[in-house]
Amino acid sequence: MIQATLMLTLSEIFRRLSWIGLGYFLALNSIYLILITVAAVNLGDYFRRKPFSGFQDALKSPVTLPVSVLIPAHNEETGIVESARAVLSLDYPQLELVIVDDGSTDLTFERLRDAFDLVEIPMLVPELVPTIGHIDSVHIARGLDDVTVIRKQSIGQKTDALNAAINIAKYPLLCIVDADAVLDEDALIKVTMPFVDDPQRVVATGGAIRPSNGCTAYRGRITEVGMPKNWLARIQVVEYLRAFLLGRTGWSKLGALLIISGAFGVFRRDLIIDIGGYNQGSIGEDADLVARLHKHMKTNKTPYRIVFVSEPVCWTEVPENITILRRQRRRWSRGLLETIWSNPTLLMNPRYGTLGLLALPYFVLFEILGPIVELTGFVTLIVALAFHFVNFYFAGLFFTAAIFYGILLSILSLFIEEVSYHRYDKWRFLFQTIISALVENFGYRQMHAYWRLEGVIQALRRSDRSWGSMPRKGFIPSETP
Amino acid sequence: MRFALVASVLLLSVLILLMLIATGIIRLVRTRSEKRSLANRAQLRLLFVKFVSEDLDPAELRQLKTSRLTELDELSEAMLSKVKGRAKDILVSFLESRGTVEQAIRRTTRSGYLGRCRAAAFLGHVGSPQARKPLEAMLRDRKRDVRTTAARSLGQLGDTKSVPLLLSGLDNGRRLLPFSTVLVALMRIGSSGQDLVGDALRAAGERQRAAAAEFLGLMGSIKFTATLSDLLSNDPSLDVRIRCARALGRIGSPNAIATLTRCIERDNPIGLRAVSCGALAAIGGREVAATICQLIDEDDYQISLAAAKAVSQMGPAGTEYLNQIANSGSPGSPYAKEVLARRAARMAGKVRHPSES
Repeated sequence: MIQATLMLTLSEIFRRLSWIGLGYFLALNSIYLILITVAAVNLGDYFRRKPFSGFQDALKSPVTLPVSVLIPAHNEETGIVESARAVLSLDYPQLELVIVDDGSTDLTFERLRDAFDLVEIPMLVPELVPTIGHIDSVHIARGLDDVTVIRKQSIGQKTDALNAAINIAKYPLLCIVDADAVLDEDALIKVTMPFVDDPQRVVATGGAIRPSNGCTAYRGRITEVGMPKNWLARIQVVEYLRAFLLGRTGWSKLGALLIISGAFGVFRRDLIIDIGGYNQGSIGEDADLVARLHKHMKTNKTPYRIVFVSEPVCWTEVPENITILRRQRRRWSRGLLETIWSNPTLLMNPRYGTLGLLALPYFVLFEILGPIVELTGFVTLIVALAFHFVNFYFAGLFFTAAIFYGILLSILSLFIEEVSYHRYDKWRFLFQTIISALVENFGYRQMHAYWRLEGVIQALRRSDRSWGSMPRKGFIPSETP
Repeated sequence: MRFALVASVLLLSVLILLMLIATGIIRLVRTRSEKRSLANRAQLRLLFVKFVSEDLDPAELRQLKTSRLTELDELSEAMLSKVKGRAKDILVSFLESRGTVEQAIRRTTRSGYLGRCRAAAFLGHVGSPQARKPLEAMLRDRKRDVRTTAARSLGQLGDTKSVPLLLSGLDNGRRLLPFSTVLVALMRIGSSGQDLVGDALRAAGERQRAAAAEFLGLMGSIKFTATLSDLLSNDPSLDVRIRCARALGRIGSPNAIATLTRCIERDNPIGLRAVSCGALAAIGGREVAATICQLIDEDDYQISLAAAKAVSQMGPAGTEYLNQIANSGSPGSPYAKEVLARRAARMAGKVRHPSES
């Protein structure tokens, strides 16, 4: 009798849980569907207006704001010289390059010294934003006034390297670029266009990030876009397209952009100094900086815009093995949780508009709690099936609906990419992305949820906050431009 | 519940399939049309080159099919911004003879804003004087893109009569023009518009005054030194004052020294002091050197560094003075050392570079 009652109760609990799970998946994917739709409309508008955007005028204008490009580097000997050359050859009226060699133990500095004929200069570095690691020396390139290399002691944090670079930078706009990133030739002018168009209100802009694995490069420029050979990287191509390109375009249009990728973003220098630079010890330094910018502007009641520009591309190498990908995703998840944790006043605060009422609750409910719900859902489903609390038919339908909704979003993203940027122009690439969009849902998505959960646990335990270094394979070299 | 799930799975499957088919069709259509237009363009380019190099027999042109002529119209429109001189004249007269200029003028009042933008851009490239009025009217268009394109095109037309309207667009309530676009347009019109721009130094709008100061500085308009100096002392806007200081430095008239010197005094904002310091250095002279040198020992690093940089621009005397400060151990000596080291590195590069090449 007791056993029967218990079974009945458990059956009821599982029935309710399945409803909650279904509602959760529906809400998550529907929000993404809305974001992708908003992004598609925005992209259409962008393409229609593009011929009249005046990039050429901005290149010629004497009032286009000069940019300091900051590259933090830790053991980046493989690609640092190429990256630096790529930055110096960008189409932009006036820029300086500041590289911070943050205690590299490889030949990062030596490679730079040989390539740019660096010479040490005595320099009193102002402490406009706080730094911890001691600056050992400052070097400039002979004959090139706008290349500065800082050698500093590492405290194991990228934020400290970035703050040191901010202290040295002299121009009103700061462009943060990862050491392994390769920018399109016109990426800088395109990402700074919102500052030209609306100088009073725009405080930060971010560009799109795409995986560079499989691409061919010549002298720090992508000459041919390709698909990675590795399936894990191929799945990330679809993921970057859906989440970073379209997701961020959607959030930006809604005025609720929380993340400008640390790999490629432009910020107003005066405001970055006002808010004290990067938060030392922050793992999700990019999201944290943007969150504090939102807070600063709202506190001062200054109208502002933080804009995502989808066209300028920053190509960056994505992990091709599970161990590194797991480490990266754990860091991202931790970073996001810590950002929300350290800026609690933003959450559900009507003062912060769509950011406080929509974007942040979304991140909490679906990005931070998402892995818990997803994994609990899977475990519950298995248990429920094992004890016949739900029937196979229902479970199968439930699972199929959830997976198909995810696939639809990925295919929709591919469709929008096909109509708009069309970067992967070979038929073979199209088939590979479609297959990746299907495969992603069987295994990868579940693993990803688990890694995100690990990140959340790490954030709660507050452990391991060192540089998230990644072994680089580099590009497929091209002998011709 | 079960029915809802079955229905949603079916719906999702259909949608996925449709999206896949649509993606494939778009790819197919794109690939084919690219191939076709590539072949078509190759033929058309040949015709176009013959046409602009005046090798095309007029009879041959008359024999062209209407569709071919339309394609030639489109290519000519697209090439307008890329060709110059005689070739451009030929293109313009061809397009005028085909009535495209009048069509574009009519399009400036159409309802679709992209059509208006296209018309404005085309009229700018053609450079026809009759386009000025419609383009000026477009400066008050409700769409920002239309206003911006029209401003750009007015710059390409180069008629000084448009200067006041371009400048007033900077403070035109909700229908503003971007600062950068107006400045580039004014620079395209060039020095012939200086007097009209000079009038804007007395305008009520802050952005007009700022643009005028920036433009006059870039043009090196010496006759506005007094007005710019006056604004530098009295304008309520710091932005305008900073631009005036920079402009005076670019103009380089010694008449501005007194005003600029007052601006480097401690009671002024740091940004203005630093820019004035650079401006004084650009004007140069013994009297100026003494004033700037005192600033190197200032408490604020921005001023010290700006002063050290300014002194380094003053030839051998400046270098000698910087050396003295660098060895003196005074508060400004680190900045003097830095500027000297930078200068040495720059010079070394200049010496090294030709030998390498």
